[in-house]
Amino acid sequence: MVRYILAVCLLILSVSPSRACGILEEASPKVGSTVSSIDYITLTFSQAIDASASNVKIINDQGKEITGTKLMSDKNTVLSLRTDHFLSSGRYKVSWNVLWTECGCPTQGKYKFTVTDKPPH
Amino acid sequence: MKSVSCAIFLLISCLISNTVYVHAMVGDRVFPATLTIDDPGVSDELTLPQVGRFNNAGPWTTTVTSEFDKTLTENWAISVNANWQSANGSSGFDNYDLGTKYVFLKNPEHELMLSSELIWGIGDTGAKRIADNFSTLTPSLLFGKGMGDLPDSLDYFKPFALTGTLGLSVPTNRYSSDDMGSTLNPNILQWGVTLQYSLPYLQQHVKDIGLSAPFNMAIPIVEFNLQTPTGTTPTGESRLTTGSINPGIIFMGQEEQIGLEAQIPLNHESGNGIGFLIQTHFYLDNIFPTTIGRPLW
Repeated sequence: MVRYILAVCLLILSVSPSRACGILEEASPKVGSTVSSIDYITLTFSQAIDASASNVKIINDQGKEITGTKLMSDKNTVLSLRTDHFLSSGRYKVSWNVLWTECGCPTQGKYKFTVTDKPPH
Repeated sequence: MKSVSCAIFLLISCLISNTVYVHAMVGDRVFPATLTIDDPGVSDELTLPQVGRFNNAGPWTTTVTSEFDKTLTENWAISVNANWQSANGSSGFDNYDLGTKYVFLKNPEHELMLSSELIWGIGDTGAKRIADNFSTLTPSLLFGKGMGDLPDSLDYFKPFALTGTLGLSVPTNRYSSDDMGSTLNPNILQWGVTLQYSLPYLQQHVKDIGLSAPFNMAIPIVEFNLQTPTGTTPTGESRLTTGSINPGIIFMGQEEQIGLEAQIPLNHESGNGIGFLIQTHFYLDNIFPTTIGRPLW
């Protein structure tokens, strides 16, 4: 019985969270978090993405898209958006879609975060 | 068996279209491959193996199941299923199943997926002492619904999802006869639901609570797998619903998943002890995204 339990544990540990297609590894601000006013968001992926076919946008709770500049890291694993202005208090939705360089598969996702403080002057 | 092997080989050998595809996904929701009832999606996937042990109101039975699913288009797939079982010193393969499934509705905003399926249990293809000598046709409707469209005040309910199936198994022979006489083969309503709570969904789309592997890949689940023969018994009574309630957990990676479930009999007629299921399942669409993991057309 102990051998069966060990085998099952090994199987579970062998389940890899990322290889062929990637996943969103880290988001800043974090998914569902509450933060002070910011003027950027950063999404870190486990695999390189195609910069020309990947995008991220921020939408406020009135449904209006926040304007900004898309940035990519050297290794094409970090996608950022620097907004033209600091975000004011409210709830925001981040909507992203990426194309993985290695497999050519698209992946999309969205999450929300909240800004509480007023933007700095 | 040889022709089935040839068919599988031909499918694997085919090279493929430019369409990109990811397994049972609608909007932000990914439905895992469930263990006792089929999920609503189509994808390139391989279950190898699923091992179970249960008491179906008779002797304890061990089963080893394997299934290969191949997408023909983004929304249409075919499948081959083989099931070996052993009970009371008797063992062998049950009849092979061929299936086809078509997803006819995907609504990303509401994380809703609807599909239809037809399974052909090919009579007389298994071991004589185990398999039926007649075929069975089972048309089914399947659904999957994620709760990601709930209002933000119910954030922690968003990772919930329901999937379900409703089908009717129709035997091609109304009666079977042997040395003991003639037996009615009733039509059987095959139905079931699953209730899932996706921790990956919670982490990625609702709130990052800092879970690490393997918990950030875990989907606690309860499956209800039920069968109700239609019509009445020879004495005029309604036939009983049998089946099992399966609480468990699925660990869903990018390329494979591991599922573990207990099998609790629904009633005395469904069994007399708690069994189990263990499944290893491979997402071929993620393992071979540019070759055999893509739809044929």
